[in-house]
Amino acid sequence: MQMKDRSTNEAHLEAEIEKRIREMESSAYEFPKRFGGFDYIVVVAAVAVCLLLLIIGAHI
Amino acid sequence: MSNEIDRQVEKEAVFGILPILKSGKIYGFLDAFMVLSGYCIATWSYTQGAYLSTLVGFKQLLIGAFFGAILMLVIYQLPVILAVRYGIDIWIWLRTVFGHGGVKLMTVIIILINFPWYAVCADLFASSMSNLAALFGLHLPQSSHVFIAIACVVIGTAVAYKGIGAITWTTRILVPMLLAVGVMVVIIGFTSVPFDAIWNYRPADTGYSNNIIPYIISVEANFAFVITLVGGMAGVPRLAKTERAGFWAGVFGQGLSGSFFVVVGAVMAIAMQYATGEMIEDPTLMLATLSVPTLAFSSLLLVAFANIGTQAVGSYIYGVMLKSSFQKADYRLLILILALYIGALCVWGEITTYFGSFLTISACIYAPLAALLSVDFFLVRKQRLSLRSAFGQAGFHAYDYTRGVNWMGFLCVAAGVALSLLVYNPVTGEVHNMVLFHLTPTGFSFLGSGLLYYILSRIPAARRYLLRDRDELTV
Repeated sequence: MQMKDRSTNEAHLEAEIEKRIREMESSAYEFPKRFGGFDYIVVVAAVAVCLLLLIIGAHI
Repeated sequence: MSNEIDRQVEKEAVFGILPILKSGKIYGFLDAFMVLSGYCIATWSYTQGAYLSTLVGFKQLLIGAFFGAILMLVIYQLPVILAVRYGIDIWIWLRTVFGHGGVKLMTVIIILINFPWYAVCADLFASSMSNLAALFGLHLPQSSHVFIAIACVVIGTAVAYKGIGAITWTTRILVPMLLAVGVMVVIIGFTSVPFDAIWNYRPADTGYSNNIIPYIISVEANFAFVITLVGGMAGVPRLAKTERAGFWAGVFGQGLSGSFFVVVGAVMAIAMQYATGEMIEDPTLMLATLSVPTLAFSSLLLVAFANIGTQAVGSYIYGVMLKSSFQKADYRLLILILALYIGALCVWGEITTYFGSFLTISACIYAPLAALLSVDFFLVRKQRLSLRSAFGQAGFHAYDYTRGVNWMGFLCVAAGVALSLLVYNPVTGEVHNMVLFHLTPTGFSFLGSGLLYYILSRIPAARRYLLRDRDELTV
């Protein structure tokens, strides 16, 4: 019974994964808003500020 | 009943990996931030804070705990945008780095190095119970410590045994309780001793004549502390509505909320040293010593439940993780094996003594794991993968590599471990290379293993081996 449940689950899973991939491939699918250029600039600035503060911390 | 729980867990382990589509995205930045903040709070944060206060003064501790944590998070969390974009966990993407079989092996390795955190919880639970008993006039023998610690493991595992229903209720109660303990500690810590005693605190003797060494060790401890979260970093961001929200929720959830509780632990330890001459990170003892005694009993309930709850949630999460890799195994057997592992660590009894060593040793694996994910996502695969091969759909084998394992990935992880140990011995505290030590062992391991993986990916034969998926790209 457990083996049968498992193989049923696996078949359902494979079918559902395929269905979701197809939906993502469709031209109508809208992906979440992407990380843009501004976001990467903020990341670099955050790295720079944190590094600077850590270096200052070494001299306290 | 046991079959039903196994079916529920199997359903979660199997169907939990499905890609989350846009219609299933439920979290904005604030929601994701709140949930992730809850995940980061555990009583082991107090142990981290107390450990840091043995190395550096309070001002340096604040800088390291917040900005050291945020620096590492901002760098290693960047690939989390793949989780938002494709709705998948990083462990699905990591099949590109390690292969289908390799990911299973890495899952086991991660659990082996991560589970000692739960031994830290159990140890704190045992200390709390012993200290509270003493306050009420009952002096427990030292030999009882291990049994009380194991009791925490047994009760937590028993809750996890009940499955998702018990875990859901546990987490609903756990996070507010931990928050309540944290708030109480902060208020009592800053009101029971002079503010200057905490603000101007410096450790009397770090054991190092050169002050830069304990400072770098403290930064390393902050890097290592946050990088242990890499394995679970995508669980919540998968459900975020935008990549920006998913990314910054993780960075600030852990970098601000998680770090706040580390600082709380430090405040507690410093306050206790000022009041009693002894540095103690046990919130139960602190609350009983520095405040009205009746608070001690309420703290018993809070800390006891917090540690047992953390055990239960940890057993469940890793039981499900193991179940997703080893689907034929029974969930309850898996969590019993995990309980035996933590129990053995409790019997050993030295996990808090070697806390700093444990942090760096676990980061030896996490740092290269995070680096390979970043390099693979941004530079090797240019943010695109074959979803069908990643999910092992019939007829798609781009990530099968050599009998299911991408040995290049494991070679780079091994190199990352070696690079970390080349710089610093986490057990003896000996610095092998002072120049590279400035990058911290975790930082150097991250950079070195990432660079190695990138260089290997530029070798034509290796590139062909890695990039068999380019013809299957559809998203």
